[in-house]
Amino acid sequence: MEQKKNLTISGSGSAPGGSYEDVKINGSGKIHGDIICHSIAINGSGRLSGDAKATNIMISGSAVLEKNLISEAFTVNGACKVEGNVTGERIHISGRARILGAVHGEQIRISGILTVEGDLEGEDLIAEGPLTVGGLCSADRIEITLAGMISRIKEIGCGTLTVHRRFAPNFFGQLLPSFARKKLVVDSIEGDEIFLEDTEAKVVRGNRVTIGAGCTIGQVTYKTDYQKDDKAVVQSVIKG
Amino acid sequence: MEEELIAKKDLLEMTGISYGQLYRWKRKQLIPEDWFIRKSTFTGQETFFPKEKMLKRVQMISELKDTLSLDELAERVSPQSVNKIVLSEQELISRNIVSQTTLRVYRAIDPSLKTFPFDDVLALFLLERLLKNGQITIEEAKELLNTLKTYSHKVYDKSSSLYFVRKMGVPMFLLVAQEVAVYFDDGVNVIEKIQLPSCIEALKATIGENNQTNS
Repeated sequence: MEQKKNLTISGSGSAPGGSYEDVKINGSGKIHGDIICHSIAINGSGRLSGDAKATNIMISGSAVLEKNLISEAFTVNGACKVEGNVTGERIHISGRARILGAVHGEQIRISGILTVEGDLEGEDLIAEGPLTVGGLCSADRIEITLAGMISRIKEIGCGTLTVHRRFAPNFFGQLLPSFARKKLVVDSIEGDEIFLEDTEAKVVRGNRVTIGAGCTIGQVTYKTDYQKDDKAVVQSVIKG
Repeated sequence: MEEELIAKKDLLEMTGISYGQLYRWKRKQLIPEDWFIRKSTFTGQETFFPKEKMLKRVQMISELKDTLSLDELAERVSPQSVNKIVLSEQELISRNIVSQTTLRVYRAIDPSLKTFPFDDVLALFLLERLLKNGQITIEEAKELLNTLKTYSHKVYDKSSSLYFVRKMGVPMFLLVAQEVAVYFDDGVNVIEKIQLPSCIEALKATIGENNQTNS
C-alpha cells in the first residue's frame, strides 16, 4: 500500500488538494481542490476551496470551507464558515460556526454560536448558546440552554425537547432589561415530550407538553399531559 | 390524478406512531423529503402526506423495524442504494427476475453486456412485465429498451412513471419524471402505466430475498 504523505503549511502558502494522511495549517494556508485525508487541523487561518473528507477535522483558528464537509469528528474551537453541507458523527462547536447548507450529525454539542441556514439533523443535540436554524431542527433528543442572544429556529421536530433558561445571576440583566431577554423563537414545535421555558412559538404539538415560565405560545395541541406555568401565556389549548 | 392527502396529525392518529418516530424516519431518509407537502390552513402551516404511499410505507417500516435496523431499512428504500447492485446473466435467470425470452430480446440489442448494473436490470424487469402481459411486441420491446437505456438513470430516483401508449397502432413510450398529470388526445390508448418507484422497490425486494436465501 502506498504511504500517504502529510501536508503541513507553516507560515503562508497554498497547496493542491488530493489524498493525504495528516493535514496541518499553522499559519495561513489555502488548499485548492477536493481533499481526502485522515485528519485536518487548522491552527491559523485556512481556506479549503473543494470538498473535504477526513476522519477528524479540528479548527482552532479560523477557516472557510467553500464546499461540503464529511467527517467522523468535526470540532470548531475558533471560527468557521462552511458554504456547503456538513456531515459528521460527532460535531462539537465551541466557537462560532456558520453553515450555509444543512448539517447531518449524530452527536451534536454546541457551546458557542451556531448558525445553520438549512436543516440541522442529529440524534442527540445539546446546545448552550445562541442557535439559529433556517430550516428544520430535528433530533431524537434536543436540549437547549438559553444563553447569550436570541435563538431562532424555524421548526423543531423531535422525540424529547427541553429548553431551559440559565439561572446564572446576570448583572447586566438587572441594569438593562433588554439583555435579560434570552429567548428562543420558533414557528412550530412538534415532539413527544416537550418542556419549554422562555420560548416564543406559534404552534406546539406534542404528547406531553409542559409550558414553563416566560413562554408565549399561540396554540398548544397535546395528547396526554399538559401543564402550564403561571408566568406563561398560551392563547389556546386543544386536547387532540 | 390528484392524490388523496393525509394531514400529519391524522396520520399519527391512524397509525399510532409518534412525532419522534416520524422525525427519526425522516432523518434516516425512510420517508422521502418530497412526501412532506406543506399547505397553509386556517391554523397556520400544516404538513400533509400522499395518503396511500405514506400508509404503505409506515406499515412496511412498522413490520420490518423489529427485524432490521433503521439503517438497513433506509438502504432498502433509498433509491441510491441500487447503484451497488450488479447481477450476472445467470443470476438474472436463476433468480426469476427475467425469462430467457426477455433476455434474448435484450441480447438482440446489446449482445456485449456480461454483467448488469441496476439500470439494465430495471429495464429488463419492466420489459419482462410488459412482454408477459402480452402488451407489447418484440419490435416494440426494442424501442422500449432504447428509451430506458438512454434515460432511466436520469429518472429512476424520482417519482417517475413509464407510459406505454398506442395511437392508430403506432406505439410510443413516455418516461415522465416527477409526478404530473398527463393528458392525451382521444385517439390515444394508454396500454400501460408503470410507476417506477414501486417497480424499483418490488425489484429490490426480489433481489434482497434471493440474497438472503442464498447466503
